[in-house]
Amino acid sequence: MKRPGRGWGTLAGLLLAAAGCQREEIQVYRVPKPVPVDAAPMAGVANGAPGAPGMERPVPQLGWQLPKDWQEAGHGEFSLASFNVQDAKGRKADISVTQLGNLAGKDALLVNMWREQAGAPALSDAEAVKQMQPVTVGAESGNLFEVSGQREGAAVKIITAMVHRPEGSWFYKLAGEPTLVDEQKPAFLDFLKSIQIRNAPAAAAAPPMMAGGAGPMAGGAPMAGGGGGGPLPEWQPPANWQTAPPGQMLRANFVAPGPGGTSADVNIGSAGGGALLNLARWRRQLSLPAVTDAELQAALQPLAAGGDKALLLDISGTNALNQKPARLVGVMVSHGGEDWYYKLMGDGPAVEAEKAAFLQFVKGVKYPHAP
Amino acid sequence: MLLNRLIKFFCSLRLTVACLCLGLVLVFVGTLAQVDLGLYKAQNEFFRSFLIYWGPKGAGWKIPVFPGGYLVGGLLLANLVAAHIQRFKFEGKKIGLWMIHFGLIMMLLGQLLTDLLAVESGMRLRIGETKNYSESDRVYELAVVDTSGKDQDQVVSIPESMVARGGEIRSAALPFALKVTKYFPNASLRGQKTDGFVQPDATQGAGKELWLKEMPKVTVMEERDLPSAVIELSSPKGSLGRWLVSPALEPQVVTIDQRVFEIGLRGRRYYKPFSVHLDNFNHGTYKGTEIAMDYSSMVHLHRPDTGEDRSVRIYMNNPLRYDGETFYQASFDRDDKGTTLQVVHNPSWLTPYFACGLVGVGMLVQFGMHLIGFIKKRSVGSTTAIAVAAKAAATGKLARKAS
Repeated sequence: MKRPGRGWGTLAGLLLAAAGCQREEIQVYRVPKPVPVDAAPMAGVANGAPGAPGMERPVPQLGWQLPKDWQEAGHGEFSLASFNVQDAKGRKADISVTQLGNLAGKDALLVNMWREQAGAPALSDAEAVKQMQPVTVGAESGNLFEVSGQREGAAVKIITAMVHRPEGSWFYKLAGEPTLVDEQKPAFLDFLKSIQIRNAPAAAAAPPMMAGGAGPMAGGAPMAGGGGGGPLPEWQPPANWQTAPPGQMLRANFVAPGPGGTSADVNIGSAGGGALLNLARWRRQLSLPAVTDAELQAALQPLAAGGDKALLLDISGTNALNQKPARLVGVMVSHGGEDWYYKLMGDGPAVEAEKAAFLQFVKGVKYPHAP
Repeated sequence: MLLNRLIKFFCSLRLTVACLCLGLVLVFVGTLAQVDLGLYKAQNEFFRSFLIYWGPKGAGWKIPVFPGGYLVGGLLLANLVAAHIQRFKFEGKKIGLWMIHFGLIMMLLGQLLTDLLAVESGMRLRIGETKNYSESDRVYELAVVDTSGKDQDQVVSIPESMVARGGEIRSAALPFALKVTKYFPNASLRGQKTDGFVQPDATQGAGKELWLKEMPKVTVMEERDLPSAVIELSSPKGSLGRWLVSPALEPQVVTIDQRVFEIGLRGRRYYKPFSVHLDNFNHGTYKGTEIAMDYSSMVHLHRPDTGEDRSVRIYMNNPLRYDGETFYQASFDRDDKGTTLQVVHNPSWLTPYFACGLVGVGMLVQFGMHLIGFIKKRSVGSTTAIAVAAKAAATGKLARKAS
């Protein structure tokens, strides 16, 4: 018999190499901060400059000619770009560029939404549409309307230009102290003419409820042991809510824009753990000290909503994640042995503005197998 | 000599036959076992194991009763390799046999490499959502995320296996040390005192008000383990407290030295140098029925470092293969507004194709050579027979003339 040779050494080496393949180590890496589905930021985008680096989907690139006296203010939570202008008298106005889902055909609704923001009374559809004036935005035609009113005790004027494009509706808003807004209107119109949009994403990026579609908006397959796996209820979110990806433990997420650039998140979950656990977690999210179960239960108010039993909690505190003042309106609905948790949390003004719509939304949820 | 006896054992043809027979039985029994155990558990118990264990129901012990897939496959592989090294000589007329054997070796090695190196994860996207990572639903990581950065988060990912080992964990990227004081491979959590549940000894975060019960590990395809651990954080100034972490809990916030960290046990994330954006999802059914005819995801692929930016349609049996990964259409959300792509990273995905090709060509060569040899022999035999017959006929003719 031959003596064992080089082949055996190779075999042993291969086996050793294979045995060492599964060693695990700590990894350290950097990732871009998560962003909501329909609020992709424009970080790093300037006049004609390349798009934002990073891993998120390329957002539309905006080019513009910056009017004199305007200051770039980066992007906001919903705006792709924003600017501000202030004069020596202390008068201020803000300019923002926002893209939403395709809202073509909803012009009257949009006018009234802006009127509501400015505290002005709603108009009939026919009157609302009459407010529209043609305007040139880049190489395209759009519509412009003006609204005057009061916001937070101060006079405000909002001039909005909008263009419906295949990928969604674009809004250019000049808002602020009325006399300054009037003075800045020519600069705003010049700014609109200078707009260039490149790399606009596909139309499907529009949030479904914004696209005018009816039907339930819900999260889908939950993470194991997390959001629950039963059938989803049917719900109809308000038109101004934007869908966001449901995170772990959640069945659906929405973002509700509030007045003055504020916003609130609407989370829906059906995870187990019991009502008190979830309600205690909500308190922790607002950095509120722990309370006993009895105190927690005392803070709950019964609510007439679909399902067997519904409880409402309305608390304010400091957002544990960003240390900013925040308010939380939460509703727990028990139905058919399953608990559903609806949470509206965010900036105080946004929560205040959306509370009624939120409660209406919760009351309108149709649970599976409901009579 | 022991080594020579071992070599003789591994080179034995009997071992080949025994392994093939054991393999046949294993595949048969393992396939039937999927009915009761489910695919995942059956795969683990029968094929991804060295021995198959059995014990009476309810008993706390088990005994090995049959060799598992790793043992049978490993022996067969060693047998094939050993036989080649020891016995076979390279000859032109045996080239087909060599190809067949190398094909078989490649197939076995490929499966071994797949088991060792392949990573499966999932990417769930709602319409309009963009992700540059996929997430495992079976393998977890303890993620400590420093959210203090303006545009980026710093993630320290600690594999669950390190958490399971317990003890102190340190990383230069963290201003504190983590000590695993308790680890539960699978646990159920409750928000109130419940029979059989105990408080997990957490002094900070959500775990303070939770009750926990350790559960047996599940390996059925449709179920998932939910591991939990109690982690003590300590800075040079002393202990900061103990936190309960679990995939069932949201990340918990810890603020140290004006840096805000989120700590959570979550499905392991696999980040990619490109992003995938879900443009649309289509779910077609046969007319008048709810039976799925087709479901497809229209995604947009964007890679900043190369500038690649294109749309791709992923649908049943037509995955996207990109950057060493395969994205399969795996599932979708109930409201048809979201999709789940199964992401498979398998560096040895081509080996079965090469192995089968090699075996096929080897068989063709080997049997072809035999066939040609046979035809040659036959034609030589026929020529000889014709010559003999002709000679016999001629001889007969002459004899008849003479008479």
